[in-house]
Amino acid sequence: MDRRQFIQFAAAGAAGIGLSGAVWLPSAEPPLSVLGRPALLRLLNSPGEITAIGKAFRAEHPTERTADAIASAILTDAQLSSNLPKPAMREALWRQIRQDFADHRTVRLRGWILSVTEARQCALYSILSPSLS
Amino acid sequence: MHIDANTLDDETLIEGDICIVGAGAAGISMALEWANSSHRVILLEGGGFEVETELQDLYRGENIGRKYFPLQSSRLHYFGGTTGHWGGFCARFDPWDFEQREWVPHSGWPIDLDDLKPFYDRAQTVVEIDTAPERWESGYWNDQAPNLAVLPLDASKVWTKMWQFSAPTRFGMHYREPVVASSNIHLYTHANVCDIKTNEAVSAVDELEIRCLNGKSHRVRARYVVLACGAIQNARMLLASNRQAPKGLGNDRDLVGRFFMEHIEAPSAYLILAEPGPMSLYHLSEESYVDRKARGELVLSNEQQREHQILNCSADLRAEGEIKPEDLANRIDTYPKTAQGVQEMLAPIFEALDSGALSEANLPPLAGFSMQCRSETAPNPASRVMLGEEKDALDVPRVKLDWQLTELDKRTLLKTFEVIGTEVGRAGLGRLQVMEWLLDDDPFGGPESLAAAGWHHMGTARMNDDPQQGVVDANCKIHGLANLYVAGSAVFPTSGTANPTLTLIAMSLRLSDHLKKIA
Repeated sequence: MDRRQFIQFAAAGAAGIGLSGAVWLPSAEPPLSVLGRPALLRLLNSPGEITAIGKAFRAEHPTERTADAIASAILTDAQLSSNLPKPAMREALWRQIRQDFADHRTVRLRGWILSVTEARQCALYSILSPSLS
Repeated sequence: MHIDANTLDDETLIEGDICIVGAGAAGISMALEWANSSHRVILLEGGGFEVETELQDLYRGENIGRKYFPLQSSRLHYFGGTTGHWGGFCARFDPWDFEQREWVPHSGWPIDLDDLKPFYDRAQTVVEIDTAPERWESGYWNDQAPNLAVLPLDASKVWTKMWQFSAPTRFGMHYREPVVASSNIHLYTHANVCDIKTNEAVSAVDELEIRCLNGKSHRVRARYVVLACGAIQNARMLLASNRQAPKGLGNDRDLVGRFFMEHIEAPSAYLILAEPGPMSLYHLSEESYVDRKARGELVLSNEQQREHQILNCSADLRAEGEIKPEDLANRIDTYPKTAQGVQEMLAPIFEALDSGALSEANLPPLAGFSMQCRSETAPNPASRVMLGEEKDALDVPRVKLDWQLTELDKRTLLKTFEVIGTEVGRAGLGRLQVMEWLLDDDPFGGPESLAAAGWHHMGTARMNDDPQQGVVDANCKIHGLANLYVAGSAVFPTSGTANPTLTLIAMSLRLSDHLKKIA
């Protein structure tokens, strides 16, 4: 991240910027529309950076290169049903991410220290948002 | 009283009870401890009361190791020493800094924090910072005002270490009058010690030879001699005094000059908070630096350092609108080559801090910070001060500095920020990104490296009760020499993460008390 990007990210955080769901993954069906929308987007406000993080994850994890494989890994680790309502799934993912950090289930991608779950979400995002890939 | 050695008759003999060589933070602190006592104190300063180019040039040397600041401008050679461009950062060493850590070769002091505590209290008075013990506790600040909240991190992993800021006390200005006015402190300026002569058995110092740039030389005799010239010059003086001891004084075991240490200081990470919160405790701003005179930094706990087998390292936070890493101008490539240049470089920073331009009232709510490390460096015998072939204007060999870092130093930086990043994520505060240069295979030597240092010279005459492992004993006396002592950060066996000034003053006061008992 260069200084310009940093200022952009910092401003996004300061303003509490969130992006509307309509922007993201318009064609994806649940649960991918939830799993593939990492909360990190809200923090960094940079689809390009999220995509780059996701690509980096896929490059480092050869067994998790397809959307199905990644979504399955997220759901399995978080012990989530794919039928869970969206709000409950978002809440469960948020808890899982915190738990990942507590359990040191973290990865370092492009310098970011991230939970495995949110890194997978970035990977999913990078697949499901081809225009940004 | 003050005497300019240039004005003395050639080959004057100066005599006293105790001779302190060097009038910087260590030397002046010690000398004032003896003011108005019955002891005759000789305080020798190589410079005068103002920076003089010819005298600064005596410090010039060669950097043959990793990139380092020009030696002639990273230290000031005049009364007051390098406090003349000191930033005033004060912190105490942590208890574990004194411990022998099995994952840190050559670690361990023969004293501990409890031994130093009473001297820290006195040192705080010397540098004019508040002596209330609670000011070192982040919890105290947390209770003072809502905007001074301590980040809700698990303190068993990442804790908030408090720094306090001296005015900063410029010793040359602040302590000139009491030193000169003291009836028993005899300050000699322009008096450069060039040789230390011992008795035939090389078991005690007989006299010092001092030389002036005007060609005069003088002799000094004292019952006790204390070298307080800084880690590089102390080592140089011992190594260059090699007529009677071919390897140099105190150097039978080839330890003098080795274990040179610094602090790695560099912009290292970005921190993005999910919500802008009250971060005033952590800002380097006018409020923290000038008004409150205290600031917190994030440090890994002793347990985390042990678990990850790393060194002590702290991280400060700097927000957009505050002082930026590049403003600190401690980049080695651009560091001025003259002492005057350094002072000109630093002036705008002090002015900005004093003027209110960095008042927090002028800052918007902030969620983004850059983080700068201040890392202990591993004690390393290959990192060393040596004598070069070239000689200075007083016919003393110049220094060759071979500063080296190790794999442990590299691992420490990366792991420290990984742990902080993990804890920040666990607490739901935000996310941390390690800067790219730190991910390089060779973060200290690559072209993109931002690694610099703190202008903190430590080691070179390390303290250990075993003469096989240290130059001085626990009382700072050089092994094998009955009356030669070292004051200052040269004696530090490890460097901690705290800036060295407060600790080296505390150590000097401790040495002073020891000498009072035996003098």
